[in-house]
Amino acid sequence: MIRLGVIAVIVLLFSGCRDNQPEYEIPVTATGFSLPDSIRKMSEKAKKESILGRMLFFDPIVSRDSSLSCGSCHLPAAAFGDRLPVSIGVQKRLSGVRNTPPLFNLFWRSSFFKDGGIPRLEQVAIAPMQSHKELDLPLEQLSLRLQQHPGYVKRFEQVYQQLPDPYTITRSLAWFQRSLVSGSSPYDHWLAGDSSALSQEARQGFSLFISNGCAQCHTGLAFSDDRYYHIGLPTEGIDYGRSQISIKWEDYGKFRVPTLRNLSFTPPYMHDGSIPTLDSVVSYYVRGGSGHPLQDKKIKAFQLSDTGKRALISFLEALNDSVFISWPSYQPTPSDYQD
Amino acid sequence: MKKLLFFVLLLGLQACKDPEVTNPGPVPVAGTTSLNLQLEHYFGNEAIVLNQFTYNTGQNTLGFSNIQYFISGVQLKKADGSWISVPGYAQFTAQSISSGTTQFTEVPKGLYEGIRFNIGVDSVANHTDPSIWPNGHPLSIMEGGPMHWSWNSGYIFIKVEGQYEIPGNPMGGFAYHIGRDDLLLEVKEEGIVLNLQENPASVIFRMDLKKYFNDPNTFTVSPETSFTHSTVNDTVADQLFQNMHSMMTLVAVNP
Repeated sequence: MIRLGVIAVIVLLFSGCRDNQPEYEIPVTATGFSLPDSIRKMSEKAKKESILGRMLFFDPIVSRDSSLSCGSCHLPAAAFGDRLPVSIGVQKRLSGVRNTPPLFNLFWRSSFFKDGGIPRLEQVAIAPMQSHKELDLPLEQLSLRLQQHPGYVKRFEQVYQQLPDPYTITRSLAWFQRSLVSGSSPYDHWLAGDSSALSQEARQGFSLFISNGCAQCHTGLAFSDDRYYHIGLPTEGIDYGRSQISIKWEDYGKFRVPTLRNLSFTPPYMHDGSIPTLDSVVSYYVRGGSGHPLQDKKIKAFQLSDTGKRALISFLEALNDSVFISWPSYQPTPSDYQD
Repeated sequence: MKKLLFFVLLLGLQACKDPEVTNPGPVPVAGTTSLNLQLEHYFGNEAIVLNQFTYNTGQNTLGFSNIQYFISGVQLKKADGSWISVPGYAQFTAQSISSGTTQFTEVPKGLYEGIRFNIGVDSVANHTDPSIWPNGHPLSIMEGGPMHWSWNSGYIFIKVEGQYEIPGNPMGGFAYHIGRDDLLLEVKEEGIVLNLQENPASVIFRMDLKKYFNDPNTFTVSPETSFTHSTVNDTVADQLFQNMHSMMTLVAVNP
């Protein structure tokens, strides 16, 4: 009995020692799910950066009045989006005119934001921090704020050997976001050879997804061709879309094709959050969009029975990854803030 | 032999020591001198005093609260007609004074016959991650945060901000933020004698904001035209950019 007790104490002691090491793992993905090596075999440095990024991501210290964090609008349970048409910024200001994008598998992206205005993940955090309608705390001010905070100074020096500044803040936030991997949906397991992972109805929906041309734009593992289209929703006087970046009139009202993964966690839909349910989104495309003069020619009306519609939605639901939204390394972690 | 080995080992250990890190400031480079670029801000013949509401464009009465811009791509023309580049960026902020001087320290000594520079930032720097620049660098977010458009990965090349009045109407604010790769303004002056053979020299340019609102486009500030973020088909940005071509003039070259 005494011997058992001693062993238990030793095990506990060793467990305590392990707490000093970064405990940060990406979720297991379905076999064959393609990940870059930098993510699949994350270095210890990248894990430390991700932990620091997670700490910042969920800390309201990043907003002017310390009321909101990045995670206030990018909720893990909502696949790092939220469930509002448009998020609410500091002092209850509407954060703009666009629906908050979910965050995962960002390593597949060639640019960021719905208009593709940002070329690299390290720059993504700058806009919401600087925007008066979102966090309203420019990076230079956040840097000074963090430099007054011994806990952050210590952690930044441990990870980067330098004080919090725009460079290190954006690196750590980028690593946390880059590490958000969602590749364990029923569809992924079905692709990997588990024939029981998709129901008969979802498989029928997959056939309809292909035969009705959805995969022309929602293509590949990302379910997005990463290009920009006008899908017929009115944007006049509201949002220039891609043209704001390209300065080309033909890009007016175009937005990047979004992924279709994890849709059930991220209503409402479309770039402006104007369509509340998946059922309504499918109906919109079955109708052939709105007929807006700038609408892309690829969007055409098609026949779909009620059974077919249910099947198509069943397939879209098979792209949900419940492992991702509850993965422990991606959750707010109180121990991050303990000295 | 042992002594030699010991000496080599000692040298090796010395090399492994962390170098002492200090901030040496600008280091003079052999064969180089300094060029001082002075920018004056005028409205017609009058030096601008910020927050003084007295400037009449013919369409409006204006006051300026902020004139802020980047200088980049400085080049000097040699006698053989070729242009040499002077490295460096500068950011002018006229929030409290009506003129400013910036110094470019790595100018090859020589006699030059022309100068050109950009108001704005070249396309490479414009699309570089702004957080990579160290504190103190003109392009650093710590310095120029308000001069960076976070949503489109680019810098605001020039800001002109203040208040305006149309007779008979209440006062309003204006904010003109010009920037985009295609809105980079080149300022060029040739046929000058710029003697940088030994000592530093100064070149003084004047920015005339009366021309910014009048030449060649007669521009009226109104609620509909009171701001620009240089977006697509932005007639405010396009008109003001056309006017920017006339607003810079050479005042003097010293010595």
